[in-house]
Amino acid sequence: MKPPQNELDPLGQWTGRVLRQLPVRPAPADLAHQVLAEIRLRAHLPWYQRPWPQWPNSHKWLSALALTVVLTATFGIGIPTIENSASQSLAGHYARLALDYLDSLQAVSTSVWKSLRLNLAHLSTTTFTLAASSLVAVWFSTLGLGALCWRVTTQPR
Amino acid sequence: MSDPAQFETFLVAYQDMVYSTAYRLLSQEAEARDVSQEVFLRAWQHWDQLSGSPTAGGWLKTVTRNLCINHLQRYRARWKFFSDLKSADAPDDEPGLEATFAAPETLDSDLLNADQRGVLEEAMTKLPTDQRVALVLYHFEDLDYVDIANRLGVSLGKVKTDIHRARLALYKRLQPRRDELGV
Repeated sequence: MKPPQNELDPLGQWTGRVLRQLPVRPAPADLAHQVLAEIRLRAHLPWYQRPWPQWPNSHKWLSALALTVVLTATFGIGIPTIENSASQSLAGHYARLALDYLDSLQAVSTSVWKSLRLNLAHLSTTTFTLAASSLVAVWFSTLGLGALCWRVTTQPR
Repeated sequence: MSDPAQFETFLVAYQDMVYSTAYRLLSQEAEARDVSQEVFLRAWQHWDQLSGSPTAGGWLKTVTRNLCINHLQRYRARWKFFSDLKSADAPDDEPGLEATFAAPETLDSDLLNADQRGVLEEAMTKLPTDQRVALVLYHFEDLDYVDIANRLGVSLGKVKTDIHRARLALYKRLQPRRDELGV
C-alpha cells in the first residue's frame, strides 16, 4: 500500500498520472533471437565450459577430490606416497608424476611464503608505511579520476 | 527443460514488459538489453516451474527489478559514493517546494500524445540515477517508501527526498513545454 500522503500531494498525483501514460517500451527486435541463440549455445557447451553447479555429478565429485588433494599438498598436510607395487604399473607411473608435480607445487608455495615473511620482517616501518600509503593514494586517485570523468561525460545535470 | 517453442512464445509475449522495466530503471539501452537477456536465461533455467504458471509475469518482473538493482549497486556503487554525499544528509522536506507547484484542480488535463510521451521519457532519462530509480520503483513498481529504502539500502529520508526531487525535476523540465504538453 502506498502512503496516504501521496494522495494529498498534488505533485505526486500529477507525476503518477503522467507517468502511467508512458507506454511499454518495445524490446529490441533481435532480443528474442539473441536469447534463443544463447540458450542453444549453452546447451551445446561441453561440461568443462559450464558453471561448476551444472557439471555432471561424477565430475563434481572428482573435481572436489582433486581440489582437496591439491590444497592438501600445497599446505603440506601429508602427501601419500605410492612407491612399491603401484610404481611398476602405468597407473603408478602417472600417479608418481602427479605426486612429483604436487611436491614441486608445495615447494614453490613454501619458498614464496618464506621469502615473503623474510622480506616483511626486514622492512622498516617507514618503508612499509610509504608503500602502503602509495597504494592507498593510487587507489583513491584512480577512483576519484574515474568518478570525475564519469560525472563530466555521462551524468545528467 | 523442455519445449523451446513454448518458451519462445513466452519470451515474445513478455519481452517488452521485461525490457521496459529494465530500461526505466537503468536508463541505458545496452544495459537494459543485457539484463533482459539474463532474465530470460534464468527463466529458461526455471522453465519447468514457470511453464504454465499464472505468476510467471510477476516472477519475470521481480527478477528484472532485482537484477537491475543488483546491477546498479554493483557497477555504480563507487560513483554513488561521490554523487550522494550531499543528498544523503538532506532533510525530508524542503520548505517552499510545494508552493511552486500548481493546485491539483488545475492539473486535470494532463493527457499526453505520442510526441509528448517522448519528451517525458527523455526527461526521465535525464534524472540522476538515484532519483530515477526511486521514482520508478514507487510509480511503476508500486513499492512503498519503506520497501524502496530496504531494497536500495538507503535511509527512508533519502528515498522521500529523491522521489520528491525527481517529481519536481520532471515538473520543471516539462514546465517550459506545458503548452505543448497540455499539462
